[in-house]
Amino acid sequence: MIPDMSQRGGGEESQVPQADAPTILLDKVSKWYGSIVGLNDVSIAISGGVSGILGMNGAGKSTLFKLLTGKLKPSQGTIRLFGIDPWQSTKPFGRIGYVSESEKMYDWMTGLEFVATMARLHGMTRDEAVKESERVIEFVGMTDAQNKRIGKYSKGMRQRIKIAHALVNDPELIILDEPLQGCDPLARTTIMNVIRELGAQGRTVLVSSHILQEIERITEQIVILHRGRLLALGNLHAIRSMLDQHPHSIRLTCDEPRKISHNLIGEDLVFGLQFESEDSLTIKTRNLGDMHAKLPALIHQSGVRVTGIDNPDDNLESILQYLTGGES
Amino acid sequence: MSDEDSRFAGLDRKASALAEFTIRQYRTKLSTWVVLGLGFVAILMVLLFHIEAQSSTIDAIDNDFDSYDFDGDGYPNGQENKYQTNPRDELDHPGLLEGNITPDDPALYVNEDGFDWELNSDEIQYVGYDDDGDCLQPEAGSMITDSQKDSNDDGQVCLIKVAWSDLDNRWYISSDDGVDEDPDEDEYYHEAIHRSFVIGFGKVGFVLLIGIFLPLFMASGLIRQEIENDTLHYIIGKPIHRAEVLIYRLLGFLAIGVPYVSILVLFTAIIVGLSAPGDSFFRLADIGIWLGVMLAAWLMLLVYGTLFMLFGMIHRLGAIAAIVLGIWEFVLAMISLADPSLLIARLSVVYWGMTIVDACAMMVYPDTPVMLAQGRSISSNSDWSINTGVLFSPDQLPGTGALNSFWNETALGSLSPFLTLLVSVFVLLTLAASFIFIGQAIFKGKEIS
Repeated sequence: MIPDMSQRGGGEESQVPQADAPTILLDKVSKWYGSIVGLNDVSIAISGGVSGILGMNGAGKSTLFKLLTGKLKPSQGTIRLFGIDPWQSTKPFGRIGYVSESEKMYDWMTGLEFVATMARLHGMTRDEAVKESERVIEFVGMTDAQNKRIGKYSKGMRQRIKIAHALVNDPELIILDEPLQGCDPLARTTIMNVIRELGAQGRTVLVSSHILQEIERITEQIVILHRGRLLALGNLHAIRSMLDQHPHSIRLTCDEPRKISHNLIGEDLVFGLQFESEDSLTIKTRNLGDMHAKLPALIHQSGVRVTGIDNPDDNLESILQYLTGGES
Repeated sequence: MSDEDSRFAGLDRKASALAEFTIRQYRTKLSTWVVLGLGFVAILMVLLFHIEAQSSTIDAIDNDFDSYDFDGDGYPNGQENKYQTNPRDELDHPGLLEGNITPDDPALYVNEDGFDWELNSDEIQYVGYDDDGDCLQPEAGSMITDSQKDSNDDGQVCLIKVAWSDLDNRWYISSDDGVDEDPDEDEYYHEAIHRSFVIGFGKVGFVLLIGIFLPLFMASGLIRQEIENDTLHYIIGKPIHRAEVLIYRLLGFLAIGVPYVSILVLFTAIIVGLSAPGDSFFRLADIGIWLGVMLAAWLMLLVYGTLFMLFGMIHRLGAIAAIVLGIWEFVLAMISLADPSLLIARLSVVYWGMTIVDACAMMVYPDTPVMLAQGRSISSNSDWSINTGVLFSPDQLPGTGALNSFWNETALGSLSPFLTLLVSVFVLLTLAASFIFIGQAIFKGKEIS
């Protein structure tokens, strides 16, 4: 399912060539809403590939995206898309696709009508618009439902049509604000594949989320925002392995938690056990990776039937807690 | 195709896409159909008033008592006047004259002498015709001297002197005794009511009410609803300047509003033309005014549409500002109708739209000032009545008051109707252009969160 993205839609915007300019450039950008800080002194340059923007609600992800798409004006600092200020000029918008976190759409339109209308706003003719729309709708796997009203779509279908609309102009930069939120597992998988595919095509993709595992399945390149500040930038694995050296919890769901605890108590990796309820046990460890490697053998020895293993603190909060030294 | 060509082609495509989108969006909203439907029903109801007024009859009034028989000799006063017998002496009547004259039906002496006027642009003119012969007195032969027939001493026998005064901006009317002294109230009423209906309905119904309500309900949300629904980013996240977005959204509104008012005006013109007084089946002459009404209504949609769209764009409570402005416009429109000389009305938008209708009315019905003068002249204390010997009459002919309320020939002083029209159109276009300009500047600097 590799679409033909070679033809540019809306090609009437004559661009000053900015070959050496990064796709996205933020230089000391701050944004305040009155006394509330949305984004605080953020500097990043991103070109190519998929980047995950991680942060809790209110961390500044949407503010960042709204600044990038020219909806908001930075209080301080400079923003450039392809070397152009998106607040001053609409020219970059021909080269970007933006999927808002808002669920609101024009429910009275069919998926195809919606995407085609948006394509025409990029300057395509009616025929071009329909052709391009059908192409991107196929890319997101929505061809079967393209003639249904958006109002009748499920959450995941809406999200996929929103992504299709953002791709219709064959953008070099795609910004997706929480694209997986509220989607069913099937839609999730489709959307993740679409995002990976877009990255593989050499486009610059920004995906925001507050769920670590989601981003992990899409990309390793992450940006962590916390309370408007840029907290970390780089490879997720590197951050992960640093994190693994720190106290971690593993929760076992099983019939006889006390019985299994006998097998665990002597282990070096374990420095604490906690009985939360009748059927679960939380293991405190200093090395998550090694503990996970040993765990199957230990469970086997105990002969207890374990129905679930999960890592309650393998999430963004824990990373944030670690990165901020526990202040959050 | 050069770069320049393709850029314009692209612009054109975006414009039509956004305007078309806006039209389709209107079509899916129930409120659109409710507003358009209510407008149509309201127009229909007002049209019924016109049909009702035109089909009713006004009782004829014998303004000069010619149908009475004061002395009871069987001959009506009018007949006795004609033969120079004494209407107050039963022993003196036309039956005693040669030729064995029999009494006429008194009904012949009601409304026996209507207005027979054709005016041109001269400042002093002599008009009228003594239909019943009570001034010319042909039966009396040479017994009546010319000076007796020229009771207003203007040197003209049995004619009405009509003189225009630039100073007072009015007609002065002075009549010889017995000329056009008993007009047909019914005919006058229907003509006067028809004219006041066309002008008044044009100004109040189309220019003021439809002109304000349609944009109020339909244009206020052009940007505001997109902000409230959180869908504006779909439109402004495209390579279209925000300034253009405003214009294309407005075009979408006008693409619904302009055909709508045009159809309503044409529909009204047809119904009114069919039920209008006149000899022909359809009264074509009014078309000039209806075209003026249509033009004025278009411009109202443009100016108010722009304003209300901007109010909504600027603030969440923009619709309230729009209602406040609507009230202001309504009050000033009423002031302008009550007293056209009050210049404060010029501080409204609607004034200039109403003036377009006034200007067209002046072109189509140039004789209305005279008609008004006629209507008032019947009053028992006017120069006219004293000269014509009118004995009994209402203050003015029926319909005069209505015509007077809606007729305004002095909207822009002594400017000719055509110039008045041009100036008004220019003022409205300038207003629209400056509102769009201001709105674009505000929209460009507006953050969409």
